[in-house]
Amino acid sequence: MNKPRSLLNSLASGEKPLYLHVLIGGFFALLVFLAFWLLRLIENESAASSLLLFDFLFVFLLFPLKGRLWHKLALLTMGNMVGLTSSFLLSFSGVSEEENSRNILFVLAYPIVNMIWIVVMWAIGLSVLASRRRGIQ
Amino acid sequence: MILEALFLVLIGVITAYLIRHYVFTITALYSGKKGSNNENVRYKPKVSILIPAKDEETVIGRLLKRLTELTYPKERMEILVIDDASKDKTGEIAEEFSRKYDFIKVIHRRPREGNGKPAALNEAMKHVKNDIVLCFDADYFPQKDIVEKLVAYFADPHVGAVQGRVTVLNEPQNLVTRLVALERIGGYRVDQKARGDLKLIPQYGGTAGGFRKELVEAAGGWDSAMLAEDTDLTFRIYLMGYKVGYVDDAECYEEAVENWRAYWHQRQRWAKGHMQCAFKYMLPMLKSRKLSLKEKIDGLLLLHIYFLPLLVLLAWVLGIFLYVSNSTKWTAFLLNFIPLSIYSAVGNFAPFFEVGVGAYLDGRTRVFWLVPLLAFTFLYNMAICVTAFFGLCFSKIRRTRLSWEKTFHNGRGNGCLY
Repeated sequence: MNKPRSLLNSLASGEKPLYLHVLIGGFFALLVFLAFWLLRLIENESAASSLLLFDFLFVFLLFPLKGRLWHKLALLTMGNMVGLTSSFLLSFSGVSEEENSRNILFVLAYPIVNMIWIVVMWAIGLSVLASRRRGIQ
Repeated sequence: MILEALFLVLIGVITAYLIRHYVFTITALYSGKKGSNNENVRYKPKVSILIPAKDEETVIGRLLKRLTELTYPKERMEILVIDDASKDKTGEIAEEFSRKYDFIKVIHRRPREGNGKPAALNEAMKHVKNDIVLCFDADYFPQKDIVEKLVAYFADPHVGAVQGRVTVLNEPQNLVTRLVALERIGGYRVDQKARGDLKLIPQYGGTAGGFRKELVEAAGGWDSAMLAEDTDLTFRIYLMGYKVGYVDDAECYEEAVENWRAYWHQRQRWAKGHMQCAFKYMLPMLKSRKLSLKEKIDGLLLLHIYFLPLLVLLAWVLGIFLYVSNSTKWTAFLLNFIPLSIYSAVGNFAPFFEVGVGAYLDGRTRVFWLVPLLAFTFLYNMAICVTAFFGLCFSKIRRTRLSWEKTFHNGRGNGCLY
């Protein structure tokens, strides 16, 4: 009998959050952000806000979970690179925030693009950690 | 100025839901409670199990066969199948089981005897003999020991209803069933469990759960004008001073809708029913002395969850207008926030934090690639809720009765079992 996917082997909740990882992750995210800022890689405030939003979600939702710290740091760095690349690509394609004019394409596309890469990176991060966790169990 | 203030208020409401879902996610992850009541599994009262069924010939036999395999003592339970004027062989199949097993009885309803499931349940309540009543939809497939796990909660006299966990049987069928499965994971594994652990308002879902007969009778039976009889009962129970318990390890499979059209109709019914409940219970709930402050806050957010997609849409349109006409820096920043809030606050109680973390807690590893695709169901939910709202307003103005639209099940989930 081909039974449906059983939930009986689901993993119980009650994990202990890894606060040290959150602390290190927060500090690391800040360093990465400052490095980008000092290197003038962050083009505008919208790019800055989307990176900060991603860092906040990633650090507070993924870093407390079970998993190796260096995996999480690598994923966080990768996410920041993807975010930066997406803002570059949008600027190159003419979708950018302009000083004195209102770019309607920017206001429509930019938030949606941000949503897509933030959620994709978060899902990849969870997938990696869930695989590791299942392996450990 | 007024528009800016309105925009800020809308963002504030969206943020409240975002924080709520974040709190639920964290609670489900780190709460040590198991969502079961194993110390009371020896409590074995007599129970009645209701199965409202209309044109369910493809699935009713599967459920009845499963119910004969339950580990709960058969002499302590009765099963009532309510054949709701079926045009197919639902009644015949149920009668076959009734002839074979004396604890199974069939009630046949004639056409036009009432509107949908609430009316069918009212009919069934006339025949119910026991104080504890469980209910399963015909497309469900419960665990063998689900009754023990559910009724254990009724050992506590303050519990008026219980709800088990629902998960999707036909998940591998197609993209729609996979996405519904993700919503269910987030909705039950995280959302319902967290509300239970935090002693807020876990919702009785109308199936894979149960209630005390006396409470439904005291409330005058099921309100057949309501499209969400489950939400209706949840709030009636809380207003009577009872609680709803959520039992995470009482698992039951359902056959999920398998195309976008069926998804639309099912969610329209849910949205309209929930909005009806919001209008009906908002003030009584706020005035009630039987609910704690945190229950009132959660109840308020729960009642209005199907209005949220409307508010998000309004915030988005208003934000774009403000940006184009009179942009300030905070407008641009908050506009960035809105699409993410669709993920984080819109949906059938299962925003992406909850879906992702629920899948993580279930030990699922391959479903995460689907999480970004939930954006589509969330946008689809926005359209559903907007049309449901206007449909409800239209029916109020014209004083027409909302009709119960049944979800069709074709029994393809059987292939996932045998």
